[in-house]
Amino acid sequence: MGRIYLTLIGLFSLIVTSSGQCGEELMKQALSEMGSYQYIKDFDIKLPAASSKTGTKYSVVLNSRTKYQVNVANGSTNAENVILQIFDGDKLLGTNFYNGKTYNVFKFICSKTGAYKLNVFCNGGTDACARAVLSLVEQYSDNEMPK
Amino acid sequence: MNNRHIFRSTAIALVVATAFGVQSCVGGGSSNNELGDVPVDDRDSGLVVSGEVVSDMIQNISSPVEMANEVKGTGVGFSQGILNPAGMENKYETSFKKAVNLGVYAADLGYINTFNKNLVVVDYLGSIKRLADGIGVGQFLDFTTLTRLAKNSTNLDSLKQLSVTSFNDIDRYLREQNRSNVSTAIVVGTWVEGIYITSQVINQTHDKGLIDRLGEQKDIVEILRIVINTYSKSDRDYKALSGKIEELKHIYEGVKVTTEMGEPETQEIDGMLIIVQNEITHIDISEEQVKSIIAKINEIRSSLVE
Repeated sequence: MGRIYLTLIGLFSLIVTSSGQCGEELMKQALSEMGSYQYIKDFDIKLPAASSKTGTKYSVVLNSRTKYQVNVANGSTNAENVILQIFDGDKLLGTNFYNGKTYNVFKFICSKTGAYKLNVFCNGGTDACARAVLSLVEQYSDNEMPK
Repeated sequence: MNNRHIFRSTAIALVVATAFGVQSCVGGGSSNNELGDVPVDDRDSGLVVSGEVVSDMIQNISSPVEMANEVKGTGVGFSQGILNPAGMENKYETSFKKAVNLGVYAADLGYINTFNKNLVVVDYLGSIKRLADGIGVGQFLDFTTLTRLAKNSTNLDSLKQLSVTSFNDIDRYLREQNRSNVSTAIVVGTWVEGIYITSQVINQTHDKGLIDRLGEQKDIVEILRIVINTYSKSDRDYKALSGKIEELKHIYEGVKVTTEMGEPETQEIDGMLIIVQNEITHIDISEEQVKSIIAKINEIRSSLVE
């Protein structure tokens, strides 16, 4: 009987720990790392080992003349940090993997209102999770747009 | 109607549109026009997006935060009179009406929060909570915390953030529960109210940035049209809305949206990664078109909130 209790306690601890790695704590971390910008949307990223390298896609409507920030909080057991790519149709606009380094935050200056794809994957080959937050940094008038 | 059927119907609609000569796509096609030899994405011949993208896209078609900031950026003051008054929720009897007006109030809340009118927020939170309860999602609105934050003027950033995350949680839950028709109604309500507020400010200010933003909604109207038409086959409320959105789409056909294509750049500045799209969007919209669009938006909005 004692063994059963211990097993149950062990399982319960595992569930609590893993939800802490990928659940609301991760969301809190992502929000605290967002800084003073205005929250727009978050993406709850769960990548099973079998498909973590191909990843998952999200669609998001972004507006012209707007600077956005995307920040990512990675699960503590991720073998590697997740990589995000922004696509306009089939055109890759950018990624948080740059010069051999994965950045957990990047800014995107959007000049065309439309639907964009966010592709998220992880090269670790194991289960991975992350929470990404899209926030509003700045809106420009026509003549203020950075060149 | 299940989601699979909805997505298939959408895909069929898009295939038919493509077969009839729709050629450009978001970010994909390019052609030359009056801008000379600059390659452009000319969206006037139509919009092609996959059914998968449409179903996903409807989730975030309208951000109350962005709309409200844009309006505030014109310098125009807060005007409570343009909002749907709080306390109207008892009029809304069907699930569609409750959901669509939950979206309307979400946009109003975004506008009120942006202008830091926290005392007004409290009235709206009550209406929002009752509508959310009416469609079985009230558990995602922490009414007590939201009200406490609204009454404490030092916590307004937390109020703004919790307001938006609550609505995102509602949207996520409804989709997980295969109630996309309800979440779509919320999104439609938020979009219509956002554009309605924008239109009212355009009437006051004739602000070019806002007029361009109105013109840029051409693609968004097409996405809404596709999704609303799919639900309209089995839902009377959606059917009534569908006809009006078709009329709005017809008005938008005269609006020309072109993009000078450019190559995106990535830079690291002081340790911060910045991706710049490097394209330029041109909106060609006449005063008459602006008036027609605003009139149609007013009509649609009235039919939703009345």
